[in-house]
Amino acid sequence: MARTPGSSLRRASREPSAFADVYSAYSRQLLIFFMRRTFDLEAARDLTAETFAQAFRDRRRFRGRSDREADAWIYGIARNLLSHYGRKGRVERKAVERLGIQLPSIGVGDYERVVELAGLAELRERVSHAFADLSDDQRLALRLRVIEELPYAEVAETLRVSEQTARARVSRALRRLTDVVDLTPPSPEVTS
Amino acid sequence: VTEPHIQLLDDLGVEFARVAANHERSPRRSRRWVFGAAPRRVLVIASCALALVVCGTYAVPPTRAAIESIADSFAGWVAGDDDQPPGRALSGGNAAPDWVREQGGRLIAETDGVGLYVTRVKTEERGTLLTFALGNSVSVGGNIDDWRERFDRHALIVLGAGQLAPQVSIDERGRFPLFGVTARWVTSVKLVYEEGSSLTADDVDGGFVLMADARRPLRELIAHDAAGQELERRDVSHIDMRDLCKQTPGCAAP
Repeated sequence: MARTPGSSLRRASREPSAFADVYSAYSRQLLIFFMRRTFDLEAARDLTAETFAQAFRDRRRFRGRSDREADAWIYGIARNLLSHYGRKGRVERKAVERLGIQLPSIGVGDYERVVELAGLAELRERVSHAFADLSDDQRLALRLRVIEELPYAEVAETLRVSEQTARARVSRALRRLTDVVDLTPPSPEVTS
Repeated sequence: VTEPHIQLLDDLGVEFARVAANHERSPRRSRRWVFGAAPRRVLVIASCALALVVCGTYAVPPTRAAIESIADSFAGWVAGDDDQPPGRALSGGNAAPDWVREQGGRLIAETDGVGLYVTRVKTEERGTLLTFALGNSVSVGGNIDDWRERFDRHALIVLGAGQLAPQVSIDERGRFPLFGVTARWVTSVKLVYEEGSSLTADDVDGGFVLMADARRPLRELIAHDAAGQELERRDVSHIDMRDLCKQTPGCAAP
């Protein structure tokens, strides 16, 4: 019988060792998914580990059967962690710590390979073009808020606009840059 | 076309395989599922039988007429009673993991800066979970029923060897931390090696952290009360750090 991510995830609820197939199916693409969004291999590694740790911890909660449901479930965890990382500026590690997972060190070879696999050079170029294509107002608002990390009140004061307008400009600019990054998760590899 | 090899993913995969294998060996949840519909008496009998077979307890019956289980030390707190919490509140000086602080954890015991912590977390699926952090990198958890099974009628439970820091198991003196929890009347715990002098943790209050010699084979832990009376022995010969010691710089044979 073919082992698909969905069936393996389901089976892992009663046979923990079946989680190895889930890991094999998603590990590489999750690492790249996080790398393309954080540009930081250490953060990508930690986010990947925490995603699997939470998936392992909560595997009995997975009620689906299909690969599509497994994708949605795994990437739901991944997106939540990414969102937490974006808001707090640090990776949540509760499940990793609770399971006693030791995070592996990162070799130079790994860094080069992951950067290449994630297509970061091309992605940086696309983001750079998109940044240049923003209107002057949006580009300045984004620079003040994201690069110089000024609070919105100061961004508004510098731009001589209301805080609401400043927020809107940053938001629109970010949305245009986000369009450049492919947010659709890749399909998992299927093991057999 | 072969995809480039990513070593860190292989290493992380080994870690998850280890964790999965540990869960495979101690399937607490599936055991509960098997006995879930059975009368509680069957569950208790099965738990006792399992404890006798698995836990390697010596035949040293508790000598007190009234048995206070280790679980009783935590049960009230787990149920939400904050009047008698176990251990001590965390201070700024404790090297507690972030998640222990975030969850309002307590310090049960500490030796040479290595702590044994406990947290309680409410979950919808499994009720309130009791989790012990063995130092900063390893934790063991379960709900109070899981623990009650394991603690039942014991004065001493070995939680296992922990780590000093991520990927650091043995210190520069060739020692590793050994963690356990005890019933309230236990005041000292002695670690006996196969050979040589033993190591004792005094002033035990609910748990202990013993900095054990990684170069020597362990034999047993013995719990005593304030009067020096032996309460329980636990076989710890399965905890053998000598191979890891050989791979650790500075952890030479004595």
